[in-house]
Parts: sequence; C-alpha cells; structure tokens
Amino acid sequence: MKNVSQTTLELSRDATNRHALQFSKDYDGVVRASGFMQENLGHSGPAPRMN
Amino acid sequence: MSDLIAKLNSALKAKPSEGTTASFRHENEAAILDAAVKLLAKSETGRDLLNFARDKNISIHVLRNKQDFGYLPEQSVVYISCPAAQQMPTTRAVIQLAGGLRDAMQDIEPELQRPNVKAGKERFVRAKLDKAADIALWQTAISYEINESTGLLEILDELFALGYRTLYEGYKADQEAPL
Repeated sequence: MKNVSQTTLELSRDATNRHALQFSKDYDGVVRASGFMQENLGHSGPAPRMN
Repeated sequence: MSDLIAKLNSALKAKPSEGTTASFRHENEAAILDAAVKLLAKSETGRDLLNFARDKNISIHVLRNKQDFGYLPEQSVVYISCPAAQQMPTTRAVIQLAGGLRDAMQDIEPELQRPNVKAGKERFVRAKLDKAADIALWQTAISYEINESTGLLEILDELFALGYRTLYEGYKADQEAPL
C-alpha cells in the first residue's frame, strides 16, 4: 500500500471505533465461555482467540 | 458472539470428513469466488493479498451467514459470507475478501497479533480496534485501486455503505497529492 498519511491512519481509526462496544461484548463472551469450561471440564482449555 | 457459538455448534455436528466449514458453505461459492478473485486481481494491493494466500496455502470459502468475514488460523481458511439463496454482489464479495485476506496477513505482523483475553479487556479491545482499522484501510485502498483501474463505481457504493466514505476521501487525497 502506498502513501498513507497520518491523517488517513487516524480516519481509519475513526471509521472503526464504533466497533468498540461489540469487541467489549466479545471479550465478556470469551471470558464467560472460558469460565464455563473451567467450571465444567476442570480446565480452561486453550487460550481463547478471537478472529 | 451468538453467531460464533452457532458456527461452533454447526461445526461440531458436521461429519469429520466434511471439515469444519463444509456444513454451512454457500451453494454459489464457486461462482462468487471466481468473480471476486478476478476483480480483486485488478488491484495491485489485492494481488499482494492473493499472492500471500497462495504462498501460505490459504483456502477461501463463502459461508451461508449474515455479512461477515474473517480468518480461521487453525484451518488456514479465509471466509466471506452471504445469506443462503441470495446473490452476492461481486463488489461486496471483493471488499469482504480483502478484509478476510488482510486478517490472515496480519498474523505475520507483530504489531497486529490476535488479542488474548489474558491481556485484559482494555488491551483486548484496543488490539481488536487496531486490527479493524488496518483492515478498513486495506479495503479502502483496494476499492480505490479497483475504481481507478476499471472505473467501477459500485465498489465505492459498497465501501461507503460500510461507513468508509471519509476514509476513502482521505486515502484518495493521499494518492493524488504531489510527492
């Protein structure tokens, strides 16, 4: 990719900041799922990773 | 999250020989991908992504799902999505495919690694936002290049529908600024 200014990089962050709430919910969901595995299977399983 | 769980449940119900994505692959997958790859190759940045996928033996699938894309690192699969029995506009497929392939490529970039929940919520969300911003920038660059090389306006309509008009205008200004 060519010639990307700092201003445009900031625009890319502005354009995607609206996903913060969803990512926060994703985190809570993964933590809940991890806790469920620990309680019911006796281990936490592999470290959860999100796509 | 509920979509993710639904996908996992579906995968667990699939027969082992089907693979984990076979049970929810789109019926028009071949045609959608053929058109999308051809259009993506009209962009220099898109060709970089396609070459990366070829070199890393990454498979690409179209899933029957709401609009969504991403990369499954354990399976080396990039996926894009379209509801069952619906046509997928090639321009939408291209933008999703660019996003999924860039998601895969991020794995080799130290500053864009997948977040681990053990790092805590704030760092998890920050890492996800960094990755999303990078993907949006690549999708914008590819849409710009395709529009420049083909004159196809529909790809900009798709990009703007994602909320990236201002980002596009910034990127376009960068490309057209005197060196």
